[in-house]
Amino acid sequence: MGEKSNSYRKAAVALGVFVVLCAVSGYALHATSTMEFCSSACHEMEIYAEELRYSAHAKDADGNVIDCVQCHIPAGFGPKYLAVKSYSGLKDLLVHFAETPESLDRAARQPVARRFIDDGNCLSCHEDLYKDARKEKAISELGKIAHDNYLGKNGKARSNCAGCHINMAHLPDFDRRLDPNKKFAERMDKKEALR
Amino acid sequence: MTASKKYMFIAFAAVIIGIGAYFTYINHAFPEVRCEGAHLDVPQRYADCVSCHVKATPVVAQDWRESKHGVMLVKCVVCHGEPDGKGSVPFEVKPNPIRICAQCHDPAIKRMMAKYGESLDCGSCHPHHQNPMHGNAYENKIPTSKITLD
Repeated sequence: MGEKSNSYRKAAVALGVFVVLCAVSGYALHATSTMEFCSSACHEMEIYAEELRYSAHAKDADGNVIDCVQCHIPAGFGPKYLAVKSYSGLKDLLVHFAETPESLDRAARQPVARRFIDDGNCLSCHEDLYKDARKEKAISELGKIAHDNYLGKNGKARSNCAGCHINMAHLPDFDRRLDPNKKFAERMDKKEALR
Repeated sequence: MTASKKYMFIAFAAVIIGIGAYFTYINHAFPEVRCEGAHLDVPQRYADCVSCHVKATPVVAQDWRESKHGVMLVKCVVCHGEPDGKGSVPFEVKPNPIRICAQCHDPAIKRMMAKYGESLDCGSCHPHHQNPMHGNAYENKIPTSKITLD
């Protein structure tokens, strides 16, 4: 055995390990991004999946079911995607093992979840910010003022979409008192989906 | 031996730098608090919150204006502090209820604590922005006084 063939063998092994790691990671990224995985892997998530069923974001304008990752993980395969996917995954693991459903403080978890809702995900369906999701009705006057500000036409806010639009898909008990959530709360009580 | 030690050190340093870069990127791409940055651009408007917030967050601005705090002109800075960080009230989006509410409502908080025990969350029962004269903000309020409307 020469010195040279030994180093070639090492390089080949390293390459093989790298390829296998990439394949496993790719499979894991895909497998942990499904609705079934999110709502069944951890019992904490069941309540979130249940609430989503009665929310306005259960289905999109074409009637397709909206997945967790469509809002919670940035679209496309880039640094944003990898950063949020890994960070949220590790955070979920930590919460799963450190907390029980009783001790889970949903009010404290809300800002974390809202922080990682990428605006691009919202804008992929809500293209026209002056129309509703089905692009039929115009939004309210207050909404127009706020969206002017978001788009930089009237001052400039640095809030993301989820900074203002709260309880879009999930409704903890303590948020039921808010007036805009009335219909969502009613649907949850009657256990009927929007459409 | 020394060569392997050197590689170990390089690997260790790479891991540390990688972790640092990871969290720096996350904080840069998804800032934890997004509004404060905007305030630092306009120091001349520090004390005039509503002129911008009526555009930026019209619902909250209007809720404040119609609430008891708005009617009594308890300005934003009284609870939320000033963005330059000066003054006695810290600049916070979500002020510490016990500290901030107690600035004015200390006697009432003491009475409530004597009756119902300690609660660190004033806002879940007393929505400080939502207007008590419209909507149903106080629908679930438990009557504590003898005065009734009927």
